[in-house]
Amino acid sequence: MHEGSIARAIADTVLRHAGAEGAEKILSIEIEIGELTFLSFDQLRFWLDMEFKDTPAKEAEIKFTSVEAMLKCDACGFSGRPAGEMDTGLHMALPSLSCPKCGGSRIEWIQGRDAVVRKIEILKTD
Amino acid sequence: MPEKKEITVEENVLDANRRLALSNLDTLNRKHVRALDILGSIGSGKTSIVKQCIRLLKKDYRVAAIAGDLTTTIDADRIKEEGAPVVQINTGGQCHLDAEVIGKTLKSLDLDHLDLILIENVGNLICPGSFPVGAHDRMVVVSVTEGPYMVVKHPYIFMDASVLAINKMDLAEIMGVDMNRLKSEALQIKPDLKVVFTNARTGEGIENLVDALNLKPPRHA
Repeated sequence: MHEGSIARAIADTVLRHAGAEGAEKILSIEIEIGELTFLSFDQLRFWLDMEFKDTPAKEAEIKFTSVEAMLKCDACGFSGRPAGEMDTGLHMALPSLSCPKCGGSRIEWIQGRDAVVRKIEILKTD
Repeated sequence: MPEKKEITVEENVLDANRRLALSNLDTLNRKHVRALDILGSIGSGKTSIVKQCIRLLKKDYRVAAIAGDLTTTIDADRIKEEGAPVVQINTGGQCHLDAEVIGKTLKSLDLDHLDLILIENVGNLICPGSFPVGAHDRMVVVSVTEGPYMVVKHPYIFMDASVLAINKMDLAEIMGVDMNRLKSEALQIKPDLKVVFTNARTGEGIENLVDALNLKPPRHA
């Protein structure tokens, strides 16, 4: 739902870095999106195309990578994927926001909640 | 002749909001004001719960409210009836409150003469998850009139929440919604969540709710 505002922030970041380098054209952009942001790549791409219209990034190839959620437990030190428990009544697994190893609730998300512009490839004349 | 060059960027576009949220939290801590971010769908009963909490707490706390919505002052007008200072934020099209708008709003409140701020977020159980506003706690409100799947359909909204209010308990039977099932689903997702059944129209359950929120006697008492 908020892909528009995130796309604007991504576009600002990309154009700022490209501008600082004197880029004539932006060829590609690599973006990593954490799965816990629930951002749709298709919608982000749509909004980015609008943001980049009439800019050096208008023909840039946009590459998205999904980053899976990982947590760390303060109690037992476990580090890894969150677990889910099958709810037989619902025929689906409910995600669990506690430690899969000890069941503790003092957990910290170490990845999966971010939207990171990793790098861009530009064309410039030295 | 132009040449290709790779530029390392390594910028998290969600960081700006997080930094502002931490700044808001710092401001609130320095002023000894506690803030609660309240999430829930439109019509779940957030405003009614805010009104009931103010009614119960205002003799012991200096409470203010911030009401966030896309448009209208309906929420703020209703909360004003309880006699607490309230600020309405209209986000226009934005589907969540963010730390920047809360930061600006905090400047308009007399933090030296407040103990508690109740922030009613925009009626949305998906987007606010990625946008902390700088509150100390988050409460999620779901109502039985939204049907039996509200918890399982929004499991990740509980990531930063400590309390769940299951509201409109008086209508559970007629809706055919099992509140204990909603509660157990929520606890399956987050075992340390505090779950309270409420009827925000009558005030039933609100004392349990403020207890679950650890609203202890204020510093000036």
